[in-house]
Amino acid sequence: MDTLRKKSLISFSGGFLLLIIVSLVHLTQGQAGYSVQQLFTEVWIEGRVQDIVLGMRLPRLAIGIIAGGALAVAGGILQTLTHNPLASASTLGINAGAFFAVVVSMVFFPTALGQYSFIVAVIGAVFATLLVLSLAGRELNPVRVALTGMIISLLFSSITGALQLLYENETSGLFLWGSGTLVQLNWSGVKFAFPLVFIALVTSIMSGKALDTFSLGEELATSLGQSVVKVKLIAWTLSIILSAITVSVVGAIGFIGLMAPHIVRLIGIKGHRKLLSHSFLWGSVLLISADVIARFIQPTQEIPVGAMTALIGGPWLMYLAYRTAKTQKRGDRSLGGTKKPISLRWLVPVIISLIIGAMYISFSYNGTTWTPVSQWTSMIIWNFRIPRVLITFIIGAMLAISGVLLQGVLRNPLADSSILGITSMSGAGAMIFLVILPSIPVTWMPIGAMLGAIIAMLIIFLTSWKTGFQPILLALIGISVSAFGSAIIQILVVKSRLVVAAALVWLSGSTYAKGWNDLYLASILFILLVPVAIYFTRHLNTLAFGDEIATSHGLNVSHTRAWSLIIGVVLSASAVSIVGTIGFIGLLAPHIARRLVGYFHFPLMIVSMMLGGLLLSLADFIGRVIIAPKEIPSGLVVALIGAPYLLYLLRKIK
Amino acid sequence: MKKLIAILCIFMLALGLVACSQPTDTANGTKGGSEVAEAITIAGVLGDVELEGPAQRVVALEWTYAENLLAVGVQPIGVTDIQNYNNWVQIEEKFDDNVVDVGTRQEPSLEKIAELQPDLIIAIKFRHEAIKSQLESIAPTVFFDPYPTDENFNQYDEMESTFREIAKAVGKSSEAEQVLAELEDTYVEAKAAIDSASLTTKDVILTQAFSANQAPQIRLFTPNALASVILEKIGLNNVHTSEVLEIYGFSTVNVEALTIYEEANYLYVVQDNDNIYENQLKDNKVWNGLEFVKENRTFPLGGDAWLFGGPLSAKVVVDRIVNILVTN
Repeated sequence: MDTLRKKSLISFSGGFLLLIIVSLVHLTQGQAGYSVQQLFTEVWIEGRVQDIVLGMRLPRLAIGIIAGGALAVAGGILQTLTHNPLASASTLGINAGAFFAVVVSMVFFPTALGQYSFIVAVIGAVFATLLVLSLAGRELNPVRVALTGMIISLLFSSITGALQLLYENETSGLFLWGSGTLVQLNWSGVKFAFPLVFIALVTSIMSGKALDTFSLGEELATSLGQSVVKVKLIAWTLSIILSAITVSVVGAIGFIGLMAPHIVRLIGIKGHRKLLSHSFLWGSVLLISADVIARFIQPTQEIPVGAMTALIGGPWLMYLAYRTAKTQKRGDRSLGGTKKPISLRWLVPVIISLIIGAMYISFSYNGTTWTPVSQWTSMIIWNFRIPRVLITFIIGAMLAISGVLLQGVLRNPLADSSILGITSMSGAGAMIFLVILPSIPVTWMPIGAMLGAIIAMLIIFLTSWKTGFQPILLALIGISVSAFGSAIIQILVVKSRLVVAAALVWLSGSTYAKGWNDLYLASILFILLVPVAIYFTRHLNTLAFGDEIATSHGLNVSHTRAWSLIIGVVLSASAVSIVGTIGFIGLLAPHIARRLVGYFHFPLMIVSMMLGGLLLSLADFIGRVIIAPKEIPSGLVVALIGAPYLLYLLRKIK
Repeated sequence: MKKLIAILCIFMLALGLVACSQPTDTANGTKGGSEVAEAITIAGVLGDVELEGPAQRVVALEWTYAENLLAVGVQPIGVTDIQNYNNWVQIEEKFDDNVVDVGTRQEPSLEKIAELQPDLIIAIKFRHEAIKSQLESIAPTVFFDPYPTDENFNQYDEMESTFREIAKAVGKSSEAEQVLAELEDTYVEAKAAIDSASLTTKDVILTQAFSANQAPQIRLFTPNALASVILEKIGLNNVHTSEVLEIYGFSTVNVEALTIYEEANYLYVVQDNDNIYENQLKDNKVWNGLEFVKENRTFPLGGDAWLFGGPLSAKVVVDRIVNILVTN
């Protein structure tokens, strides 16, 4: 007990000292350019310096301390609640849900937002939480929860992205807020947040003993006389309120809730009363430091502090995931699929006729006029419509195959190139080309995308080679890579305002303006890669029985995993480099296929491929005609169509 | 199983064939029967464009270039996002009803453009460079670039030269010179009016503001900006400079940064539905303590004063500035 007290003292005094130091540095930062000496002498007298310090810099500092602390406490509670070291408001999708609600109300009810942003954010946060909880299953397996949260975030952010594109002017100020900013103009934010956070903090600390009991396990806690339901209810309420407050005053800031409690645990603090109060302190230290660094890097312009925390937090999550995965049992989850597969003899002709039908309509209709077949060779249709429709089909097929491979390797029904971080790192690579090297022609951007994907793949390779590509580890590392990539994208997007319009369209994935040259490239990649993928289907079948059985059948498990992974990644990176970051197809197509033809990989791959092409063609068609001559990027249409199905799917998978 | 592989092979082969077969009638060429006219060369940033004669059917993919066409009395046949254009750009000349909307500025509809059978497309580099080959397959396409990463670049000169090139392309060079001459006259008159108005100071800063997370974000225009050069031309003096090169012509700051410039006059553009001065800053101590606020030297130019446009938008901006500075 004595060492605990000592550790506690070190943690508390150390954290406090750090907080004071970073706070002082924080106060000297600002665009008015006062020297430290000037600040120190003039702040006591009434006047300009005092106004600025009291009216702008102090509120910013205060809101940072409050928000950082609130996020950390929310994270700490959520981690206990879900028995999951990877839980936090951002990894569970709660922040994304709250932010989504704010964007929706900003677009449709702009006047209401001013007064009720907190309530709007609470509604969004509750909605997201309920979604994650109802979809993640009863046992709250850490990985499953993290994956579900990630997918919910993905879902919300694609809808948010669609709204931002369609209502560009109404949401112009949202970029900064989207990734979190501490900018404050007066004390109103602090006045609003402080009492709520204070009450929530005190309640949390008071519930510390109950949380200690709860963390022993629900059965044991019940037998010790605890009302588990009550504890759960209170704890969820507290963490949701804390997250919603921060989103409504400073935007969606991630990773503080993940890092702060972990630092405190690393120091060796035990017991929830101490854990939560120390987390508050360290959360404040982290957020203020991030803000100091962000303003140090770019003094004349606001870099969102949330992007800064994600930049540090991504690798941190990677490390945490690595540790968590080592203690986990190997998850041998079957991918599911129907037990009564439909014969390909029937299915293939049906799907092919559907594809032909879709192609016929796509070739003929542009949203206003219908073109008969005889006119298809006319310049407009032949040059602009036909190559675009065909390339859309091929890309859809490639993404679907990549999904089948990745899911087969990971034995995880939710795996997809977006979950492995390949998509977001490709996006980041492309953005770096776009922003840092503006003199390079736009046509070179795909090379940046490829480089990004390769880096993502290397990280995944290096971290999971030794463990034989353990499915769980792979998925979690992927999530962290993805967070890191998105942070880079966010910072670059803020740094380069006008290019954003171009970047946003490209990043949400667009089959716009693809011509014959792109089609040749896509066809070559398709013809080279797909036969290899089909060759691996045999091994994937064996792999599905589990590592031990597969090895006893004479299969080189690591080898098979590595190669399938490489082909899967190259397929999706090729797709990204041609049309940008289109997600969901790799998830949707294989799932629908599994319900039709079962889990044998050969028929699965053939049917997925055709369905993937069909789905993306339909999305492209809808995006092209619905508000013609304007277009909705097909990546967003896929997300909007895919969302309901994905939700249904998440519920179904046991 | 084998059958399936066979089916698959055929399928892929078919795809390959489709991909490799080129149509015979891609190159439509120029329309026949063109009268003998003098050839025109327009200088664009991605290469010069040759026209056999003045362009009759022009599609403008960026608002400024559509505005330039209107300025010399030419109606484009296609323009991007006309609805939003009307929200943001206010000049006297309007589009005819038969001008076709060809989609968003970022992703204009290639099919729509091709349907119009234009003889010239005017595009902006940072948006449309990626679709250069597709645009060129429809019609000769000229690209302009108002935002290069060049330190010595002058946005105003670019505006004038682009205007001249566009006018030349439609055979209206003399009209263009007239518009520019009138604009110079406007500057001279404005300068005279401002000189005689006995302002306390001719130092100004020009801003455009919006809110992010309830907090005001202020775009403070730098001397390389088009709008800033206009200020200089009418005898005002933009006092804001930036250490780093702002290629779009503004730094984004918050209220704190304004304290450096409180002696100057404050010219601002703000949208009515996001008026930070009436909402967020109304009771703000720092804002209210600024000299130009205390002395009522803040001057609104209206939300639809387009600071990134051509000569006609420039004229609107100048008229608004004179109007508000001199009447006050």
